[in-house]
Amino acid sequence: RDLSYATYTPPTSSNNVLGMEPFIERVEERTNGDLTFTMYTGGQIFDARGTLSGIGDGLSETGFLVPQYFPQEMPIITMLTDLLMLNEHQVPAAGAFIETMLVDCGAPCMDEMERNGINILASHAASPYNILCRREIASMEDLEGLKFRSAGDAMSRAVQSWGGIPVNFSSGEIYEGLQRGQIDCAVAPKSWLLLYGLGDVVQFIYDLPIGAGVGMGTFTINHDTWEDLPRDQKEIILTELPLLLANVVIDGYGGEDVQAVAMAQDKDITLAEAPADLVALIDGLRTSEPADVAEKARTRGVENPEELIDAYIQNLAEWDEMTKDMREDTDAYAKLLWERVYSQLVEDL
Amino acid sequence: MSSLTIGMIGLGCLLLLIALRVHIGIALGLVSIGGLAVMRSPHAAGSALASQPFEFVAHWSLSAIPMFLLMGAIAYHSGMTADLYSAARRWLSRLPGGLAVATCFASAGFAAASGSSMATAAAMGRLAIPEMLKAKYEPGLAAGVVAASGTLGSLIPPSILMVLYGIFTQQPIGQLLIAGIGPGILTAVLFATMIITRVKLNPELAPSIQEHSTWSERFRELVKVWPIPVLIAAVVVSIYAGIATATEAAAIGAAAALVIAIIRKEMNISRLKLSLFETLESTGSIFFIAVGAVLFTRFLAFSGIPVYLADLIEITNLSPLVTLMLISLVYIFLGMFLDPLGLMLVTLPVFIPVFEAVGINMIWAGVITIKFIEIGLLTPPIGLNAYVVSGIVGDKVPLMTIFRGLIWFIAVEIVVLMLLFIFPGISLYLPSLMQ
Amino acid sequence: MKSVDLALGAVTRILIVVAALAALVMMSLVVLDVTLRYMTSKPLQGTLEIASYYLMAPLVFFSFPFVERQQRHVRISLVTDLLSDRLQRILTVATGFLSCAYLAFFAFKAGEEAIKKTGIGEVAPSLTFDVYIWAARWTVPISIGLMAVMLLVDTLRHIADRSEEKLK
Ligand code: NA
Ligand code: NA
Repeated sequence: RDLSYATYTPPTSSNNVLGMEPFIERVEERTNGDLTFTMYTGGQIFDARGTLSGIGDGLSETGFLVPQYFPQEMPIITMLTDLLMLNEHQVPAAGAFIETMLVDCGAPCMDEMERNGINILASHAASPYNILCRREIASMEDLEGLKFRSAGDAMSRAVQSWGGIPVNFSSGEIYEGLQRGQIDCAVAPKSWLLLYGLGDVVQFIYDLPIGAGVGMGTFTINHDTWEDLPRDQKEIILTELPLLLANVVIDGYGGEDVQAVAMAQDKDITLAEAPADLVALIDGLRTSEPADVAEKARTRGVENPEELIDAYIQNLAEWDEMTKDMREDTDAYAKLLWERVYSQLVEDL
Repeated sequence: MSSLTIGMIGLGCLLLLIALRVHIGIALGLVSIGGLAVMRSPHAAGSALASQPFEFVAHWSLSAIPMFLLMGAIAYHSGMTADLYSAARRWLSRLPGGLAVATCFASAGFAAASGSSMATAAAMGRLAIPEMLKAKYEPGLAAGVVAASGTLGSLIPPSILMVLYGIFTQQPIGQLLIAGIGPGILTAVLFATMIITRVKLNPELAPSIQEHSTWSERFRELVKVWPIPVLIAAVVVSIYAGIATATEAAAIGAAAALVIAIIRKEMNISRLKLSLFETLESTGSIFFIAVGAVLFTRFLAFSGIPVYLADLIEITNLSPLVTLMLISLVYIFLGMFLDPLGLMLVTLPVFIPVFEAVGINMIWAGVITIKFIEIGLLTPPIGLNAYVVSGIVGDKVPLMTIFRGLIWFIAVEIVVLMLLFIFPGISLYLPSLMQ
Repeated sequence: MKSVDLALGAVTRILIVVAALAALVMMSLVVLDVTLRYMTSKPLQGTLEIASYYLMAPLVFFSFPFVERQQRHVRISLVTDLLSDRLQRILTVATGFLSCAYLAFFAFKAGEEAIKKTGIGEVAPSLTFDVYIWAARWTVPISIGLMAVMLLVDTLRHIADRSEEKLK
């Protein structure tokens, strides 16, 4: 059987090159070619906003899903993605998220996915957001009135809290926005120096993890397609997913951050510490964030949101501890993902 | 039946439906939905139709098209363009096809403010075509020059497509944007050369003004022309001064046109209504096709035709230049049917490895890819810039006349492509200064 | 037939006025947003979402029936002009029904989607608040449905014209 995999990410993105392509090869090999995949990259089939109905209605059987766009359709899962300010590194964040969603949350999350005709079987986290600027920020006063390209309401509230102005620019406009001064800074991962060419227009990087995007459904499959797969093929997919995630999170995002730092040094971009009061301010935001997120989730109809949020915080602390020595160790991380999450999913098949 | 066969049948059906006078947008949609229903499932096809047109249209960056159309319509109905072109006729009376040449260079200037080819053609079309038709220019030439030089919008920075190419191929966006300037200017110059030559050989294409104008007449006309240059300057400056983005600049242009018209006491409610309805008429006819074109991209991607064509090239294992020639053929073929974004989305994933395999400089490849896409905007049956122009002129110029007028410009585009192939420096010299 | 025509004209007129207002508001909103961002530290929030969903959608979709009424949707008559009158008429009716069927299906699907999104209260997450966008979804079934009816009336009229000619 041949399944389509559709993603809006570019064909050359590390998600695809380092993660999906090797994953597909492994699955094809282990199923002796009984299960194959055809990849459609770069939004040929749907863009980010089209991912939920695209996979849910079987326009593509599998693909990359961005839950952040669908808060009403998936209130519980997007509540967890809303907690991005708590995430200081992608490695523990990705593990804590997938464990919370697939193990702790259990039935409510499964129902939510089934209602939309999908199964999110693997979700990754991206590297943390930093502040990339055209000019120096020596103190908190320098932030006053600067325009920040940001995305999502957590980041925008953060920008407002330090006196900046959040501005909504599409990712394709950031380069020229910074070049011509329509914006002063971008709240973005360091890797955007390469991905969006910001290395040419940014002068200062403040190495302060403001939060990391989490819950991006790297491998999401149509619900019926998943139900119809024979048990052995399901097992093969589930046993290969930990390495897919480790490849994306460590080799992909981690590797890009390393490249970005090298590029910054190459281009004489200053990698600086953020002013101490800014660090304190963001730490403060972090403590008040869970209550805000819970409140918002309640308005979207999530019952007892605190319980799951607490589970996530607990998991995040555990994963932070467990992954201290494996931030660059793909195999160890994959093994941990298998032990904590995927081995249980295989048992439940 | 294999997907490839379904794809080929789909292309045939599309041509048939278009030939039978079905609305282009409906023909594209029918074939796509039918094809997706067969290749995927009827439910999946229905789902694509249910959500994708809305998600495509409800997009910020596309707002530049109606806003530039509105700017042009206001400028036209308040007499700004008439004043400019009557002055241009007096000043350029010695230059064969002067108005068309001027339009071509004005488009190049406008391209520095607009990030998209369709938006550039929309803006310039509304400003220039009616005036050229009034001056008895051959309709195919008048419409063709706008559709063709509108494509400079994606070559001269800012450029949405160039940024997208950079993100897709992980190439430095700054260098890519700069790389488009040389080829953009070259294209404008060669378009102008072609127009002058053609009009010299056949003056009936663009009759020059008969009466002899004195210098005092010329200068008297000049006093009245300020609105359009000021308007274009307002749009360009708002971007380069860091006030507005390329998308926002379109709305600023429309507002500036309205303000200038009010200052000149040339605006009233009925003119404003006329400008708005005309804008909506053009917007509607352009987007109805674009919605179909989006669905058609899904269909063509699933058919596997782009991958199949790329594989044919890869196995031949030829020299870079020959490979590039073959890639050109694929682009020109697919460009007949796809919109710019769709063409980029379905071709880049399959051609990036080919480019890399033969060791082509990826910035150079970017400029050439944009050129391919631009040619696709001009070729029938699905040539979106021709449709933009058609949406502006309506019944006054039949679509076939526009496509016929474009043949000359496509010929020049092919010459430009050859020059870009043979002299990579045209694209790569400016970026090399950045390093 | 005549009253149907009048009704279609009236609805089209209402939609195009809404579209025209959307165009004016889009222009004003963007200028206001840019001005505030450039001159003050309090730009508008949600301009991008409002412009995309609440202005682009009606501006574009509500134009479709208007363009249809003016017979301005792009088509190519190169080949059909070569055919006999009789054949041309048969083809016009056949493709008319086919186009109608497509538009009706399109409108039906978009309508289903609009109902679904209305039910859940679809939002677009913006920078600081959620923008409810479900209402904008309705622009699609309304416009496409109206277009389908217009095409149907047109095609039926073609058949009627033909039978009148025969009678003569
Ligand atoms: Na441009
Ligand atoms: Na074309």
